[in-house]
Amino acid sequence: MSMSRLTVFAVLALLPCRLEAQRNISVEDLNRIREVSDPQVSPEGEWVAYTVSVPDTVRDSTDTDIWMTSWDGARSVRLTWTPGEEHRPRWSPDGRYLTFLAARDDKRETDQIWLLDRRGGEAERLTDLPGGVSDYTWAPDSKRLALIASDADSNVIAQESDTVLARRRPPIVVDRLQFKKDEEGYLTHRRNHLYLLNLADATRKSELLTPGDFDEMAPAWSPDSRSIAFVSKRRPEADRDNNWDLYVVDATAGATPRQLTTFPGPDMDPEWESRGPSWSPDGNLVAYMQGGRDELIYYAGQKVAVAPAAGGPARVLTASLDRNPLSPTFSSDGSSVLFLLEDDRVYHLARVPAAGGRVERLVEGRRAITDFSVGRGGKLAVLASTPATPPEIYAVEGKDLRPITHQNDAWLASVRLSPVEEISFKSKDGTEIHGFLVKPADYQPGVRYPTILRIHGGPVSQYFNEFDSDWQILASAGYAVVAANPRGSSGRGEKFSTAIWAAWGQKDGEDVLAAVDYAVGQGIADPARLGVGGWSYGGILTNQVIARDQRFKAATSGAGQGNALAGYGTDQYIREYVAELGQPWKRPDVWMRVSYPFFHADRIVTPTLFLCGDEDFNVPLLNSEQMYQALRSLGRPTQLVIYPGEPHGLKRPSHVRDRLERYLAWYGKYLAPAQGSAATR
Amino acid sequence: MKGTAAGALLACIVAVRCLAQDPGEQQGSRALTLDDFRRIRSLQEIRAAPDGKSVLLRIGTVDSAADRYTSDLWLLDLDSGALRQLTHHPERESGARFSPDGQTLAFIADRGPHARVFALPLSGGEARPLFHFEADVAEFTWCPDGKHLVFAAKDPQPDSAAVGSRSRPLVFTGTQFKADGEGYLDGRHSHLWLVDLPTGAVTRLTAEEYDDTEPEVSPDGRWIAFVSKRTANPDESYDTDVFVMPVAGGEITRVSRERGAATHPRWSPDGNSLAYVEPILPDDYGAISYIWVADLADASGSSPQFARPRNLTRTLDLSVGEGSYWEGGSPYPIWAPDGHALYAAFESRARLHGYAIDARTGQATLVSGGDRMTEYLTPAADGRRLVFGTTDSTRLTDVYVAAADGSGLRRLTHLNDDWFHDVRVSALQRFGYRSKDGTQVEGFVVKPLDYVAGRRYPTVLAIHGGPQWYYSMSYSTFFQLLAARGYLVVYTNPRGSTSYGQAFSSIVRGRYGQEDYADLMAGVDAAVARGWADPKNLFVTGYSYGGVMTNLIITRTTRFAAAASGGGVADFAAAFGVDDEHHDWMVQWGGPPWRVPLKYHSMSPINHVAGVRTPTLFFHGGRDQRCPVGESERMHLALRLEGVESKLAIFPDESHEFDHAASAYPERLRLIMDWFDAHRR
Repeated sequence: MSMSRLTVFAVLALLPCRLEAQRNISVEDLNRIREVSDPQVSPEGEWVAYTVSVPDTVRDSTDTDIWMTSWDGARSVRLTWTPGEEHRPRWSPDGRYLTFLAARDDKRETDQIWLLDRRGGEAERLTDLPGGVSDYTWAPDSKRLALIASDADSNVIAQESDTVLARRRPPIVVDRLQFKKDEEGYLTHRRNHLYLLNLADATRKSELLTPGDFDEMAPAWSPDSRSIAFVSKRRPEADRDNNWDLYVVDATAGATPRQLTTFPGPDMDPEWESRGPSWSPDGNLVAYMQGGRDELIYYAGQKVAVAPAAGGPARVLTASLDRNPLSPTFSSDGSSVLFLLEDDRVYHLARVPAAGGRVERLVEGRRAITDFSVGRGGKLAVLASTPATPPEIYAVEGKDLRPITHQNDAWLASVRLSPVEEISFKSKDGTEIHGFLVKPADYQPGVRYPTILRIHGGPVSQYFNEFDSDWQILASAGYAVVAANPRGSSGRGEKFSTAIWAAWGQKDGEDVLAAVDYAVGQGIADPARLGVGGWSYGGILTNQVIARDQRFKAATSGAGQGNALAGYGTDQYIREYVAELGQPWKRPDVWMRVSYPFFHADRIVTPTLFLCGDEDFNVPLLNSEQMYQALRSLGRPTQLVIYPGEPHGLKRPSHVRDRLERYLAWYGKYLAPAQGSAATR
Repeated sequence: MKGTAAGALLACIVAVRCLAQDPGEQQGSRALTLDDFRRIRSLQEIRAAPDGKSVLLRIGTVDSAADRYTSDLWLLDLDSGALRQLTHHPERESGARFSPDGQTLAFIADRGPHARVFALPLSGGEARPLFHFEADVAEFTWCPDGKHLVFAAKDPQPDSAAVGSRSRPLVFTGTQFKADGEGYLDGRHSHLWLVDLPTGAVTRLTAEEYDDTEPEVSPDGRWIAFVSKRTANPDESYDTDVFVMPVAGGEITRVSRERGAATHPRWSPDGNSLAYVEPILPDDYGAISYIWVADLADASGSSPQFARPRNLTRTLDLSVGEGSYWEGGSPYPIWAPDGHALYAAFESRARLHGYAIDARTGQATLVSGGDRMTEYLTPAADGRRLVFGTTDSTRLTDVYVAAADGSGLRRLTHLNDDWFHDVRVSALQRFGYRSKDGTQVEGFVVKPLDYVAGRRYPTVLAIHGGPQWYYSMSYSTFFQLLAARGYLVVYTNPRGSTSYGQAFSSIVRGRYGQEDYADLMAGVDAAVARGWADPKNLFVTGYSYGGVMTNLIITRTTRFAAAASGGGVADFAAAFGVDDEHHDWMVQWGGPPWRVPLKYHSMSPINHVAGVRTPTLFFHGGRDQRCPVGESERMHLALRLEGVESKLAIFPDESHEFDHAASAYPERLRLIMDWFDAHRR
């Protein structure tokens, strides 16, 4: 189900000019795209640090390194060279250091903080916390760091030892309400806590600030370096709700945290927001994200709010916006709060006066601005992508963007991409639905093409104007690609999102089918050669669509589900299920309704390829196994592909590539794209 | 006992590793402890940075967690004394060289899978491997264009693990098939290679069955000077020479002419001269090493013509010294940046003194004298300042800067002040004494911490290795620990010791146990006669040749209450061909054991062991190839069978160098001191 928002953001990607292309894009290009992320403007404003990730096909992992590029874009320096992942670069406020997280030289393979002296020299390891560091932030005085570290994992420690006895793995004892989480595994009382690291302390020992059976995250220093705001649910049985709150604690061991926000829903829901709250420069206000009513779970619209740091009622700044904001951050003069604004198929950089008022879109355009960094003196760097350009970093100059990084220019100059068009059409009930259409490479008007309907995850997310390599490779292989943002999607307000509440597969199923009808109606799609596929909720909706409609000749269903009852207690969504569907023993009818694909599996005739990672705790493998078993028993053409060691989002480059090759092979077998297309080369 | 020169070092090593600090008498409040050993930061190298304002330091530390020695590179600002750490990797870095443009620091490090050349940009960022080569790089030098490197390395060989190396015999046909620290030699030779950095293409420059080492490219980039032993039977000779060949490959020209071991070729800044170090006396590792300069007479052809080399230091008649960290070797000679002089430290009566040697006349000007050790004497690139380390008996090494003539000495570093400032140490005192035959010998005494004049103390006679080596005036952890335990330490430079002239040293060759024995015993007699030593509580210890002498001493006298013999030899005939220095034994004893059996017999302590009464501790590295571990085993067995108290301590992973585990050396000291404590009367 919801492929979390964070995951969606991780895949975001823009390009100002199209260069003369030389060849069609292919699966090989998955290894050539350089993923730029996490821009950080240096305190003096002369550099932007960021990360570049490339697939390492030898080690079959991702190689992430820290880079910096001068503000004028003229000089780029790669700062780290080791094959692992160095990430989360952060400048010390005095500009002397750049820190980052890396798991290098660590037997437990946990991330620790590394300190790189800007004058030159190799990075020095700052922390040695057995559970690893997941987040950190510099104090404005540059003398201390606040960090989030996990309690030690007893299983990992056992594996470090050489003796058989010590390597014996202790049982995992479960007594929490929420006991599983994708990429984390079984949740125990191993918690994430806030620590303080004083650089002047030669022992480099981190001090625990917030003990207790709670998780703390997203720390943010007050401008006077005296206190730290963070996000937590500091009460017993906190798994039962999603009521995250902001807290403030003095930056001294033994201090008692004080709760800053009291809204009964989530404040700074960590599934939405990984950036910490933002202090106003005068230290009087803290800006943050306020979620919707807790019972609306992830369908709820988000708001920008500010709370007085000294306590008192919070104030929502974007009450009438009805669009999701992200990453609220005070401007350097404190007059406004900058944030990312999710609109219909685009992400803008926007701002709202700190005292409340009109929301202003600072940078518009049909693209996706998915991260930004504010430097002193109002310098603004953004991470932006378009359907034709993977994410790169740009300087905001007036309403325009000036490129700072050029990590993908050479590659882009070498490939031919298919234009991505925005489309609108009416659904069965007359509702206007928005989406995208990618014509196949070498498209000839008048010729109908095999067409693939792509369905996004979430369900509360959307396809937007970013670079999508899968669409391009499918188009290069001779397919038309059509993608819709059906009801349930974000970007068009809370009502649009909640339209599928407890009714998966109905309105949204009609909406995605309407996209196919549109492509057929335009004379592009061949109605006899239609394919469908998606991952996560995209897999779930694929299952719904093929059980409700028999027009598709091939389907790929990744990390999906056909029977919600099988997901209860086996995936990470216990609270969300009960909120939306009720308890299974009380509302079996609702559970059966959303489990339509499994209980009507016999209506499925589409040859379907199921795929899933065997360590997926988000939409676990068992769901795909169940659908595969049903179709196989019914004698339908089907296959199940299991990716060993993979969570919900595939990690290994070989698996990512394999998945796309299997899509091409599966669709190729049943939809027969034109000969001589790029994929067959 | 040539190899034992290294062993000798060991005896002093501690000395070196532990080198000491601060002007005047150290007035701390606590005694030194064994635990302090791991706190020592030792200077291991100084190299001038091209900017003329700074120098590169290599500083050794003990990694307690990994139980090993390591080192890192630091940059020292000559004006402010600010010290900045450039590398933090757990593996040590060595052979650091600045690129010709001064923007990059290259060094060798084994960060897996083998030793490679790394480049560290001095403007910021981490180091990366400079090029790919499938074998350990031992040494390298930049070409002046900054785009090429010449390096020394053995031929790459297929991964031995892949061909079942455990079942494969090692096969040898030569006479030198093992080396201490390396174990069995693999028969591969060190060759010179040229790498084109922009392309990474590696070209082999030399291929013959010789070991070609120490490449140095001339300032015009045309020639490579290097060291090799290009003789018919290199295993049976120490006669290395300096050779020159074109960088492009071609004819090899021999430059050095003497029969001693020529090493350390250094091009003058104008490229018109080549300096190097070579003794005149052949086959004697204690021979005085002179600085020679060969002027380039004709460089017009494809092979250069050199004028007859000039011995610049014949009149000074002192031997060029070590750095003095035992592993670092000698950095000398070093040209003054303007080429008018060469700098080196020379061994002068237990001290290292820095001299500037006029490159034309050979006139020697003392730039760093006194009762201290001058280490890594280096002119800064501006030519106006000299940088060097100094230590004496109460101070660990720190870095000092002085004007080019040695005036205006100023301390720049405080490497060990953090822990050493409150340690009480006992200053050495020199004393001259006459040996049995009237020869004047220099001795040193370190008195117990709370020494009271007129009281006699249990006294330890310490014997250095070599024998052609010397006890210096540097700080010694061992002696300070003994002083802290209430012992008076007597250590002397008996005949055989270097730094007192060629005749004083060479007399011992082929005659161990005569003049040297007399000088050692006379040293003890002097300590008793001066009222320091308690004649009932005399102890003796030595390592390597010092162990040989200890073994001999217990067969000749019963005056010692207990002895501790480490890394020694009991039976020279039995050790012959099992150790790694048969050639030196043949030179010293006049042939192999089957030609001069009586010589070997009379030299060997084991043959005189009947009647030994002194309780003795034997300690030895299990992987010692210099003086095999069987030698201590044999002595221990003999003593036990003779009914004498004996203890054998084997450190299984240690070679003769005793540097595998950082805990090995302090553990060895603990064993010795506990042994002596137990035998105090």
